[in-house]
Order: sequence, then C-alpha cells, then structure tokens
Amino acid sequence: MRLDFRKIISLLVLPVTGIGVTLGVWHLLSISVGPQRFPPLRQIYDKLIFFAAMKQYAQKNILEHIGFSLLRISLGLSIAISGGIIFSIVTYVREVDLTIGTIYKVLRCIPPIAWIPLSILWFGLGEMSKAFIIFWGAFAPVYINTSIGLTTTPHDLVDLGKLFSLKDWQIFMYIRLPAALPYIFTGIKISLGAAWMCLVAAEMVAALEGLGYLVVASMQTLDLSLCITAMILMGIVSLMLISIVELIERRICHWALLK
Amino acid sequence: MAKRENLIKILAISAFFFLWELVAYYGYIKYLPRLSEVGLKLYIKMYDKRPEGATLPEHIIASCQIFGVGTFMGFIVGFFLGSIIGWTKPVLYLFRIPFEVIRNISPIAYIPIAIVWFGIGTSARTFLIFIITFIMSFYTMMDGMKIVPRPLVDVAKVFGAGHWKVFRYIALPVSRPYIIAALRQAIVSGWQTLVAAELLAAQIGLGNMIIMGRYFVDFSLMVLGMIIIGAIGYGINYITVVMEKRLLRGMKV
Repeated sequence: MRLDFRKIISLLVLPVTGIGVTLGVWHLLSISVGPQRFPPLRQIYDKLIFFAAMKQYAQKNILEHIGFSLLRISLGLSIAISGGIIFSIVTYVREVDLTIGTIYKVLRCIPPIAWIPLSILWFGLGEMSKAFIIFWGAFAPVYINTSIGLTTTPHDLVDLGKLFSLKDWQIFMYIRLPAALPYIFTGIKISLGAAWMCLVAAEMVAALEGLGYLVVASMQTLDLSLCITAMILMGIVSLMLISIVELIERRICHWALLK
Repeated sequence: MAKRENLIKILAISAFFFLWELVAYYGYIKYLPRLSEVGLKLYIKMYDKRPEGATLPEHIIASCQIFGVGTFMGFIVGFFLGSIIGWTKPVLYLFRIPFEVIRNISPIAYIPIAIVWFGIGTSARTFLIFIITFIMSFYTMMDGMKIVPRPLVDVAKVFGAGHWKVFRYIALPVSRPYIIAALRQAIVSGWQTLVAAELLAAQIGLGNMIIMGRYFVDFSLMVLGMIIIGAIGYGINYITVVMEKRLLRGMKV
C-alpha cells in the first residue's frame, strides 16, 4: 500500500497542529492577561485528572456527573422525540392542525428557559421538572421537521401508491412516513443541541449533580478552570451523541444519504 | 377558504384562553394564575414598580437594549469571520477539532465566563449575547460556504476571477439562505440565552421579572413575564421572516 502524504497531512498533521496552536494561544493569554481570567492549561489538566478519581463536587466523580446529565437528556429527549412524531402525525389531519396545532404554535413562542420557574412549581425540584424543560426545548425541532417531511413527500411516490390503488392510510403509513425519515433524523439532531442547552439551564437553576451543576459551582467559586473543564466535557459528550445519531441514521436511511 | 381557516384558528385560541381561565378558576392546575389576573397585572405593571423594583416598560427596554447591541455586534463579526474562514479552507482544516468541540457546547455554559470577565453588570450580559450570536452565525456561515456549487466557481475562475473576487461575487450571493439562517439562529439562541442569564444573574430584565415573581409568590407576574418574552421572541422572529422573503426573492430554496 502506498502512503498518501496529502491524506496524512490533512487528516493527522493539520488537526494536531490546530489543537497545538489553540492550546498555545490559550497559554499565552493566561500568561499575559492573568490566570484569573484565562486559567492555565496545567490547572485545567489537573482538574480533569483529579476530578476523574476524586469525588470533589457534591460527592460525585466526573463520570457520575456525566451519567446524571445523560440520564436526564435521555428521559426528556425520548419523550420529546416520540411525542413530536406522534403529534406531527396527528396534526397531519387538517382540522386537528387548525385547532390544536394553532394553540401549540402560540405556546411555542415561550422559550423553554422561561418555563423553568413554573415547571419547578408544577413538578418540584426533582427529575420531572428537568425532563419537562428538555421536552419543551426538544419537541419543537422534531415536530416541525417531521411535519415538513410528511407534507413534502415526492409526488411521484404518492402517485405510484395511488396507481396501485392503495388506500389513504396505506399511502400515509407505507409511503409518507418512511419518506419523512430523513427529516425526522434532522429534527432529532437539532433537538439534541436544544436539549443540551435546556439541560444546562435547568441544572444551573436547580440541581445537585450533572455538568450544568459543575458550571454553576464554578460560577459560585469564580473558578474558571472548573467551568472550562465542564464545557470541554460537554462538547465532547454531545459530539459523541451526535455521531451516534448519525451512525443510526446511516444504518436506517442510507438511501437518503446516497443522493 | 382561507377566511374560514383563520376563523377556526381564532376560535381555537379563544377556546384555549377560555379553558385556561376556567381551569385556573377552579384550581385544577396548581399555581396557575387566571388569565384575567395576568391581564390586570399587565395593566398594573405599566406604572407600578412593586414588588421587584421596575415597571414593565423598564424591564422590556433593559432586555431589548442588551439583546439588540449584543446580537448586532455578534452577528456582524460572526458573519464576516465565518464566511472568510469557511472560504479559506486551510484554516478550517487546521482548527477542525477545536471548532467541532466548541460548536457542541451549550451556550448557557458561557455565563460563568462572562461573569468572571465582566462582573454581573450589563456589559457581562452584552458580552454573553455577543459570544453566543457570534458562535451561531459563525458556524452557519461556515456551513454556507460549503454548498457553493463547484461549476459556478470554475466558470468564474475560467474568466480570470481571483480567490476573493469569487468569494465576493459568487460565494456570498449563493449562500444568501445561510445568511438568513445565521441571523435567525443568532436571534433565537441569543434571546433564549438572555432570558437564562437574567434568570441567574441580573437586577433588571424580563427573565429577572419571572424569577422575582417566583420569589415573591406572585404567579401572575411570572406568567406575564413568560408571555411578554414569548411575544417579543415571536415579533423578532417575524421580522426575520419578512427579511427572508425580501432577500430570497426569486430564489429557490
């Protein structure tokens, strides 16, 4: 096998130098501006290593914090995804869309974060209120994308179904719904981002564990190295989640990606 | 036909409001204030500073000022940097991994950084909105530069256009839908983050009004704040829809 130097450079050398440059710039900033505003790399690294072993914040180590966040995300997101798909199927009926859909569109204007105080009153400080916030943030992308997918099915597919004298529900079930799959996955990917945002907000307001709690702990102690550690972990974990969704997408609707 | 549909929509919304009033009156849902109470609160808050120390117009102006300044600056900077970096490929390849990690960080996690750098005043929140709108528009513009059709670029190059001329006259106009998308992303997440920042650390603003409603056990104040936030968010979004129609006229999206 011949070594392809251009490929090696673009895949290995450039990204590694990029990370090096980023870290170097950060180091220079921390030297020149001060460790209060730009915590030194050494401190962040120490925090990361120390944190993995020790149960420093709220008697939990890093994996437990990540686990709590993931649990909350999966609870809220699973309700949101299934609810969004079901709701978009229901509102495919014009009359339902005009009544219930309109009411939802009015309620949707209120961002999920504004619901936090009310949801704490309604559902208490436990997991339910966080699940509600995440649900509210993640529901809209799934719902909107699925309903776009259901209404923009290619005409030739629907016509083909009619040609084989399928009934309306059969066309919906076997043609429109599978054709909307790529849209559903797009919605899920967007709602994943929204779910992280809502999760951190909900954990910042009321929680004793999770990555959002680490962020708020860093705010209270003015310890930016902890905040940056939590942010990096957050970025990596959600990047992993998105790549898992993309993997499933490639498995289930590879036909849409081929285009 | 459209007239009848509008009638049904209006009927549905008024039925919802009626139901809300009824449910709250009989107390089926805990802590839900009646619609009439919220309406009365809206009237009272126009001039009354109690209980949290600012009238409703003051809250709205405080929020909108921060939002306007932060979003404007963030969008301009993010738009230029994002499109230029998206167009010059080597920089993109160089910083691919840091970019991917930063992209997935929840915007709300920047709140401690803003507080440590700028304190808890107005400038901290402005900086926060700036950084979030910057990130959103930056990444959207970077994606927009990826969809520039190869043939158009090749034709321009055949006619002797340089790298920057192609950027100015082909890449930017072609990525118009992404400019609008960047603006929308920036506005939506900027507004949400502003509410979050005001919930956590602020003395004035609509998010502060909600949390104060909770502390003073004044639920109608809380719901009023939520409604005002929703209404302003809807209004800003509507402006971008109008701009989208203007800017994308004659363009298939």
